[in-house]
Amino acid sequence: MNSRMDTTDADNKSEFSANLNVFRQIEFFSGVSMDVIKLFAFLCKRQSYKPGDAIFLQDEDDQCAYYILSGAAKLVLKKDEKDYSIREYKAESYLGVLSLMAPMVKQFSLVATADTTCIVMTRNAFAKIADQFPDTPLKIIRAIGQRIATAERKCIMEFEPEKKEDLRNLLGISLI
Amino acid sequence: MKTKPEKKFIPVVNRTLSSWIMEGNLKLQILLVVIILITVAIRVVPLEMQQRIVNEAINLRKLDLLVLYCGIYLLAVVSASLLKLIINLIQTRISEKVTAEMRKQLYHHILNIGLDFFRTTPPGTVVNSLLNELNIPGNYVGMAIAVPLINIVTLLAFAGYLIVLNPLLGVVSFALYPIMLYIIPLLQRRVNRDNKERLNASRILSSKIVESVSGIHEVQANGAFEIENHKYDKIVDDLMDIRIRWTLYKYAIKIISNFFVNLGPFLIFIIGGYLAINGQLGLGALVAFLSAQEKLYDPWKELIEFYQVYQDGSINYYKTMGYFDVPIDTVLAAKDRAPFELEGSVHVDHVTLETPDGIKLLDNVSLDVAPGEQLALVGFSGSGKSSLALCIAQLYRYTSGHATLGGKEISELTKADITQNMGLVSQSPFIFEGTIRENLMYSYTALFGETCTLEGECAPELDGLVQVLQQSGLFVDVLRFGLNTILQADEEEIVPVVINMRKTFQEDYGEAIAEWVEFFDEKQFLSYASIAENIIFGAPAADDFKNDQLMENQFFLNFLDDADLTRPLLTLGKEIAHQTVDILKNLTLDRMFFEQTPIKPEEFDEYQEIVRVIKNKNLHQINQKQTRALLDLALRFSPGKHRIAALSEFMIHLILEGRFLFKERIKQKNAGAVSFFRNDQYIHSQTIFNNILFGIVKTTNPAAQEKINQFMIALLIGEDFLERMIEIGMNFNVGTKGNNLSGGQRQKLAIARTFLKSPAVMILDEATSALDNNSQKRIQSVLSRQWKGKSTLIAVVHRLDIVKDYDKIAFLKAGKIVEMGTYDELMAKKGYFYELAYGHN
Repeated sequence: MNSRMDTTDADNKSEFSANLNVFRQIEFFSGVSMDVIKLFAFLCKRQSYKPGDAIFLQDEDDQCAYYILSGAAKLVLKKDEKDYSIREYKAESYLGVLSLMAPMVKQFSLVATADTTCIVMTRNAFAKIADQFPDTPLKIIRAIGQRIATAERKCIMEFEPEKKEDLRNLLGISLI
Repeated sequence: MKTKPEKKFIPVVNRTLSSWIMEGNLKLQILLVVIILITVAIRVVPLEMQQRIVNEAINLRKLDLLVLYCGIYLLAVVSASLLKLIINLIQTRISEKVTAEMRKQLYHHILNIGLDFFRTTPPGTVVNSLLNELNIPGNYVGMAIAVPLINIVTLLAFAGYLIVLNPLLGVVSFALYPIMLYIIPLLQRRVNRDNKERLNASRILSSKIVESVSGIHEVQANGAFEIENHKYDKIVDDLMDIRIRWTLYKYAIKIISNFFVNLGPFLIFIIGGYLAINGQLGLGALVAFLSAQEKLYDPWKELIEFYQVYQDGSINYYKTMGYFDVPIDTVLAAKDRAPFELEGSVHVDHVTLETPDGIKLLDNVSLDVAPGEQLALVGFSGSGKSSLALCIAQLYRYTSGHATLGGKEISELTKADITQNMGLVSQSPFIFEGTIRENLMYSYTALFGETCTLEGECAPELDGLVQVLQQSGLFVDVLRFGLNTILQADEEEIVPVVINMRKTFQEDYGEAIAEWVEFFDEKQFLSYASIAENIIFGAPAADDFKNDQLMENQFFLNFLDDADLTRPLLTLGKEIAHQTVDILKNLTLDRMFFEQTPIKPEEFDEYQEIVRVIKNKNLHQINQKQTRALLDLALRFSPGKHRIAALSEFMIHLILEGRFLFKERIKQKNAGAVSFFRNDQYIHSQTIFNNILFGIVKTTNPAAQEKINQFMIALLIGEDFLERMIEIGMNFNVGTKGNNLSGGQRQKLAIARTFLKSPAVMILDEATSALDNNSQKRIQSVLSRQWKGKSTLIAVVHRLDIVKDYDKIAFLKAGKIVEMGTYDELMAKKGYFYELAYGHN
């Protein structure tokens, strides 16, 4: 995959400009103004991980959201002392946006499966942005709402009566 | 018969204004009276001299008398002025002393008022009361004896003198004063009324300002500017009307008083002139009368002013004191006994906490906690669990029922008893400006007193401090603060130790950390150091090579030119300034915004202006001042830290080339100016951590950073330097409200300070809510292993996975305890607690 980082380095762009390019394309930020996205790009930090490093841990409120800039990571659920691998996230995935808005314990762990670099935004930084631009959380919540509705629509489209019991607890999540 | 009356304690809010006049100022006031009497006597002298100069010296053409009388006149005037100066000095001293004392006593009183009061009292009102409203009462107290005395006596002395001189004219001179004495109080009553209204309106205004500032998110989020502006404007307009009326009446008093005083000479001229023409009055006496009329003006004016200050001062004083005249339910300390040392049993019996509106925050709650037992209070928010904890801590007053601590009714204990036996950690603990050590010692010092703890007699041992830091989990943070310290001159003794540790560290861990660290290698660019540091590549010994002096250093500026660095750096500086200003323009500046740019918060306006001015200019068109500001910015830029701009490979190459050229030049010119980074020398511009590493950590991988930290701790333990480093770390300044600490660090600090006090009962009100899982679990395990049996623990808990170890769990719902028992009992019961733990399906 041709990661953005390589191209920006070749152009001798700053990390800020590279972040800005990334954030402009994240769907959660589609409704917010350029000034806000600039501040997002300015306040976030990058972190790198080796394969096997935990990016975040189940049952912890790390107060962060992550954009995987390069590399890959798998989502792991630990239950009754056993680890279950749920799915793999590739570069350009954005995880944990709800953690920016409210105290929220992560329900899964995310573990790097390759050399991975993430752009990390903290709840604290997000709070500073919301101080300056108070309508930001609302706009992001709208995007989140749409995302949940879309996901549920997809789920309903794939719905089959025989799987009904498995999905019972999940269906209706867009009605929260 | 004189017996010394026993001094009864009167709370400051119930003291009369006049009680401040004598108390503590008796000597000064007596001195004042003496000086005043002398002054008044001296003031009459010029009048007599005037008469004699005209009647005796001039009329009889006696030059020697003229010189004598004029000399006496001059002496009297000079002495009167000097004495007046002394009077003013004493008066000011009394005023300021009393104002300060009022401020102190009122503040001490306010700190003791129950929490309820502060829920409805905006901080602005308290600030305003303490800062502004006590000035005029203080002024009044300073004037209270001096001004009326000096002026009334002066008036009487003048009156007596004038009546002796000519009874008819003397009486006429003062005929107008009774009229004034009737009219002025009438007007003053209006002034007072308006002044009271003004005070109320000011208070409403300050509440409004505080409200909109604290609720600014809501205002902006709702776009409620119109509503807020309208409310605010209305209050300001009301205040304006009141102030206009108030000021007009005050002026009216002045004008009427002036009018009558000016009417005086008119009467003297017409009646005195008539008498003089008829030969019944000497010319000298007429002059004396006219001059006396003029001199009457000042004392009279001062009396009127004093009267106004008295009226305003009384109103301000009684309104202010009245506002804070809230009964204080708790006594600070009992006079006749030392604070109780109670055992940690808590017994709550049918306790109810009802708000004035009749809402029951706690409803008939009963529970028992034995000494050393641990109780968790759980429930949804609003269930009353925090209220219960705060009632036990005496911060809320239960409205009925009983609660005892060690068998004593909590509401009847003094504050000193509570402090002695209880420690409270709230959810958002308040951390005060100062060092970690000072904050750590806060509760301890409050308990044992400042003199005792500061002079070392009762100061806790370092071991004790280290132990509570470990228990609370703040130890690693403090260690980190210590390692991140840049050494001050008075800590030189650790330099050889650090150099030594550097060697050991390189031997033991050098290879293991090589890929995560930029070592101070002459041939390598340091991304985590500034460009200036990269060029100089050493610690400046001479002041003019220190970072903030470089722009004044012509040698360095010439060097930049010769190394072909000036223009690329200017371009970089321009880019940084432009980007920073573009992002942060129009924002309320926050410290966090300046972590990624070399511009400091206080410089932002300056750079914003530069960016505006040079916007469409080329580099050669900008002036010297702007050039230096931009160069300075570029030299402070560190590509690893400041992500706002980037350095090209070419630029990095130029800087490395420059480093060598600089070294060569400085060796020729001033070899001692810079001590270059050498493995056997301490680098004073760098932190202790970087000194030990002899490099700077470059990895952003949390696991790698953790590993380096572990190596570092292992090294410090091996070198027996851990405690010293903790000592250094405890000098870290936490900033205003603990701003330099994270939320978790603040909570850990608050827990540590309560541990240090080691009270019989600890109350933790969601005290670990900002901590990560591991830290929470750690503290929980410390609580159940090291504190169980030692201190009674009552903890409001929001996470159910940490309550297993508690002896008892009380589940609250709508102010009532609906379930109580051990973890296993409650789980087996499958009631509220079980449901809260396992969701709501």
